[in-house]
Amino acid sequence: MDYIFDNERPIYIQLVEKLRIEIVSEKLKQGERLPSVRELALIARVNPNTMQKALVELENEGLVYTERTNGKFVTTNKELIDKIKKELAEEKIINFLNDMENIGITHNDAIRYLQELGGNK
Amino acid sequence: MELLECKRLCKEFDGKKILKDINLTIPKGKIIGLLGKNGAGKSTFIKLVNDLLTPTSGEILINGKKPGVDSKEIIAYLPERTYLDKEMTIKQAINYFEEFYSNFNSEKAKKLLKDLNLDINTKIAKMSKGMQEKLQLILVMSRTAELYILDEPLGGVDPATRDYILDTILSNFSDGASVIISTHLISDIERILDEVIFMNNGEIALTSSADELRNSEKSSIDDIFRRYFKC
Amino acid sequence: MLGKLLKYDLKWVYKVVSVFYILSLFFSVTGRLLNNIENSVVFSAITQFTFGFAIAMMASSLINCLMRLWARFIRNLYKDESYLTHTIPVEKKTIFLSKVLSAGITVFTTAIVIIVCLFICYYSKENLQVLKSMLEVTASTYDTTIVNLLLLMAFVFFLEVMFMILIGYVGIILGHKSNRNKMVKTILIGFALYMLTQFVTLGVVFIFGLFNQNVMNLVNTTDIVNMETIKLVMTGGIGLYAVYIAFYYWLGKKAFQKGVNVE
Repeated sequence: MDYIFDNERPIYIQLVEKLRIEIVSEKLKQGERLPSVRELALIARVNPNTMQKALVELENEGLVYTERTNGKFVTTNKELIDKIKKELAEEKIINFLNDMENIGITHNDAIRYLQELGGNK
Repeated sequence: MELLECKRLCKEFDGKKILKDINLTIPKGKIIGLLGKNGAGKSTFIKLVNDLLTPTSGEILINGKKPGVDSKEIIAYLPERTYLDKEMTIKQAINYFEEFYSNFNSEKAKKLLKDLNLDINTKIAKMSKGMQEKLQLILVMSRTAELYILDEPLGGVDPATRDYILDTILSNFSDGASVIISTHLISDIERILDEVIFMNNGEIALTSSADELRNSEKSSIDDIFRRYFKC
Repeated sequence: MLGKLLKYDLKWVYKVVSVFYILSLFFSVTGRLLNNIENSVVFSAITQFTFGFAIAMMASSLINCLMRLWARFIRNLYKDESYLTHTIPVEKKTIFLSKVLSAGITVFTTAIVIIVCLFICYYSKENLQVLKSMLEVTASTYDTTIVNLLLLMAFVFFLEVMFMILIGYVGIILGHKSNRNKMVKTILIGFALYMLTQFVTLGVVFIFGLFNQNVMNLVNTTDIVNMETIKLVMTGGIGLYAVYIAFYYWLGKKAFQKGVNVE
């Protein structure tokens, strides 16, 4: 994982965002056991304390849970994952539509472009 | 008992005050950036912690004791300069560390050196400056210390080496240990800092958690620093 | 820890000094062998040159030994290397003791080498007779007595060199406590301490001379002195230098333990 961080925002928040995406996109599978905090920090090339903070946040959100003697695991709560996936998608769509508006493309035109160009993939 | 405590620490050279009334505490298990311009007093402070200088007044306590044999046992110090006898080979330098530091892990050091394709029979004098710096970094990070003090570890290195240095620091400092990184190149390292201490003109200007500072100022530490110390 | 420190200190000094040991021995042996070839003016000249080189190498051994010891003290404790020396978990008094012991060992071996070389060059019955007449001793006195006297003188010389080295150490420690002109101050302080101590020595000899006529003669006259007086002076010298060495060791240790001021 070669994460690129923006120094202008709290690092741990950016970590939460990136890990959230990994979980939602199933790069980190449901129920998968996570490496130790230290190992994760090494992979992400961040301070272990920052990683710890990020994991706490994810636990508060319910995406990660801790089993005391076995370590941390990705949630198996498919509903939650889907919910967050949808929220992330909404966020991206709103950003997309705003960006389109900024270059003078209406929402309807934007959707049409999407269908034309998106459908080619 | 804190890992490192300074109470009213002052240092004068020939009547000139280099450090004025420094009060600070370094807790265990954190990576701390000691940030300031050149001449702010960072290196003087670090030398005082390492018993290379004696305070004019005030005190430094490491685990409750003054700098001495006990503190030197648990502090791993990487100065800005080459402090190895250049006539030694890398192997001899490893032996030296092994002989004097009980918490030195020579296997780890040898492995890290192998990753750099360095022949341990090379004489230090024959190595490039960059390689010498990496060697010292490896020797220091191969110690299982409670406090790592790195004085300008990124000075004048290329981006690849900088990444190597940051990775080496992150992957090798022992659990529960603290790391103090002193530098004026803030944007390169701010990503890994838990806390920052701004030093200016021999005084502590600011101490804060890095992320909290980013949050409250909505800027990078580097930008905050520049604004703070605009000449 | 002391043994480890000693190992590194000795290695550094012997790296250079041992070369001069070898050269001294080489020229001494060569000179002695050449000396046995008689009947030739050319060889006689070469022999003298060789002995000359031998003496020069012996002197160089001693001078380099001193220089190397002082250089080691400065480099290892006050230059870049000091960043490592002062941060290894060893007490300052142990570090200082290692420097003093390494001085003792290296000066001792240098003295041995010089003595051996001198013996190789000059030991012979005739030369001993010459010495005896110089010392106003009867020709029938045991040769061993003369040799013992020479060894006694060598020991005094050894102590004097140790004393000089310690003064150098103290000069370095005190001179480097300040922030500017460290080397100048070092040399001035070292020199001042040396002169001061010499005055003390003169004072002691004078006071001693008030009680012992032979010693007074030493100070007042230029006549060749007899062996008994020499032995007395040598013994006194040993005592005096032992005191000086103890004093400067104590002074150096105290000053060093107070802390260093590394640039």
